[in-house]
Amino acid sequence: MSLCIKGGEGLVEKIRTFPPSPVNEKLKTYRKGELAGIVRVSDRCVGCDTCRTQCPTGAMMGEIGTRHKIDYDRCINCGQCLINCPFGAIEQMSFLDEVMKKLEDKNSFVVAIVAPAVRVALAEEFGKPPGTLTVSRLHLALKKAGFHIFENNFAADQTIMEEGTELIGRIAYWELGLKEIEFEIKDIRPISWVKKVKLDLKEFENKPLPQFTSCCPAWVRYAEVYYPEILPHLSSCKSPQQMAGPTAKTYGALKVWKVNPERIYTVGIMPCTAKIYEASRPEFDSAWRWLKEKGLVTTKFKDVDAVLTTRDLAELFRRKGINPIEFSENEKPENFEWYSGGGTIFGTSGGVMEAALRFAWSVLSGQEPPALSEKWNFVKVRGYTHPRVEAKITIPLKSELKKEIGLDEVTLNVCVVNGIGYRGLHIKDVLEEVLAGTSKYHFIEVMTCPGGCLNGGGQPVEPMGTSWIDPVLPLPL
Amino acid sequence: MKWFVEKPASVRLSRRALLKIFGISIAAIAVGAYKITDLFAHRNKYIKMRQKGQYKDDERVRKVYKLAASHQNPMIKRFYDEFAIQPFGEVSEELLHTTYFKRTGGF
Ligand code: SF4
Ligand code: SF4
Ligand code: SF4
Repeated sequence: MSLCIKGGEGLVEKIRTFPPSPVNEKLKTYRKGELAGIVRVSDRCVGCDTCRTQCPTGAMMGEIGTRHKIDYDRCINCGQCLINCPFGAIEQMSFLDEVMKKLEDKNSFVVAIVAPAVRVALAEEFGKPPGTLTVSRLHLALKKAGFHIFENNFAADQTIMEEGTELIGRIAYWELGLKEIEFEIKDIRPISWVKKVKLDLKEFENKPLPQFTSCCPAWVRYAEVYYPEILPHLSSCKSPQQMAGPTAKTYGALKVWKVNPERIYTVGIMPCTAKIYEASRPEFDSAWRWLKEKGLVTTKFKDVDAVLTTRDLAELFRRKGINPIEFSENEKPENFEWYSGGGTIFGTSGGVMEAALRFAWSVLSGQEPPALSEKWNFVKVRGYTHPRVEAKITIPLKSELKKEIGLDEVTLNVCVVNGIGYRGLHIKDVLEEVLAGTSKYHFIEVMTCPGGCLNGGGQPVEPMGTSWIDPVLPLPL
Repeated sequence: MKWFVEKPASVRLSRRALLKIFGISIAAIAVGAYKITDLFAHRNKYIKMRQKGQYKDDERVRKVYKLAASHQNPMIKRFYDEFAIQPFGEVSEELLHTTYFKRTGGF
């Protein structure tokens, strides 16, 4: 039976979109300028109630048989309702038209910030099975469409440098009682590279353990709305997307591409609907503030100007007649196209944790095994299909640190929350323990979507088009 | 794998409830119900396939470019050497770190 509505050549479902617009309601949990209502229930809802069982917050409301409705104040924009609606009745806000226009504008230098999980799902929109990798062919297709590339995987590597350092700082202050710490980040290949890091630990007084990851904007919003007391535990690191934007507009503009920062228009390409909301947060204009202070720009701009979902990108390619599958997969990366294995596994549950462990383990133990060595794999923290994973990781300290700290090894207790779960099912105990002061963990990864970003609300909707029963189309049987 | 086996909607939906909801053809309803039951079983499968792809990419960059960990990325080295100086340095604090906000919704 080929009853599916074709997204492209693939068998994924076509999700309807609408242009960015404010919602017609007075909202309490959004600040001025923030986008709400990233996903909305259309009148094609038949009240099957599937979405409600997937909602992590209880924002999706309705009885069986009635049209469902989202309470935007409660909603964290994760889009799990959307990708699980069997009737394709939930729609997504889309910046596609605006981005298409910018690509035509010769004065704009349009930068695509491509997230890890996009490369394992985009191909589904073009008839390939889930998991088909598109990396250099995705870059080439994006270039053909007029983009410059800023790998969000590069920004994921930045995130690890910052967040891993932060974790070491929190542990040094809270567990080891140090007032300052010095360590080296080292790589021996292809030539020796050393980065000396010196941390004054005073500021870590306000950064307690355990440390939570902060790269999932739906999780950050969940904490802000439902567990504000937990906020000091969140890593102060921005998400990769929000590191990529200001890096592109400062370092990228001034030292790498050598273009006027005001010309740069950054587009997050994300597996995620919450990223659309994240980019609209008012504090995310740090590049503009930084450049203004130096007298380099005047007009205000955002760090990330627009966000497209994986589905939006597929539609952009279709409109431009570009099939990413047809390009070469063997191009060597340049500039911001470089990324590490640690950067790319951000797309899967447990990936941020594993990437941070690769970094921390290498820095603290001084070891640099060959890239394919099993020693870099921390399989114990991979989320796979477990709702929650925990592990103990013991790291032997290198001799300088042994002296400085007075210990032979440190043991990290870590936890990975793989999907917040129906009404917080997978995370509530973890949070309650932290608030009660009884948590045994040092570091906790949280991804709102089960499986991680690769199952995010902006991904191609698998399988077999779920909108068979679609009033605007002839019935299939 | 308890995680994905949420009670399928078809179990919770009696046929009568379905009829009440749709008021379209019974055949179409049968298809719909099949679809919903199938959804979660299928979800496991495509998530696993995408996960495989993600770890394949990890292996690829480690094999081809010898990059297992973030600090080995040559562009990361350049970024800190030419611009940010060190993690948690001044530039990082201004561009790469943020703060959070309590949002009171009254629930
Ligand atoms: S899953 Fe879709 S059709 Fe079912 S209640 Fe939710 S929005 Fe309506
Ligand atoms: S599933 Fe996510 S996007 Fe949908 S209503 Fe719930 S919180 Fe909002
Ligand atoms: S897990 Fe990933 S895709 Fe899902 S809401 Fe968080 S950042 Fe977005």
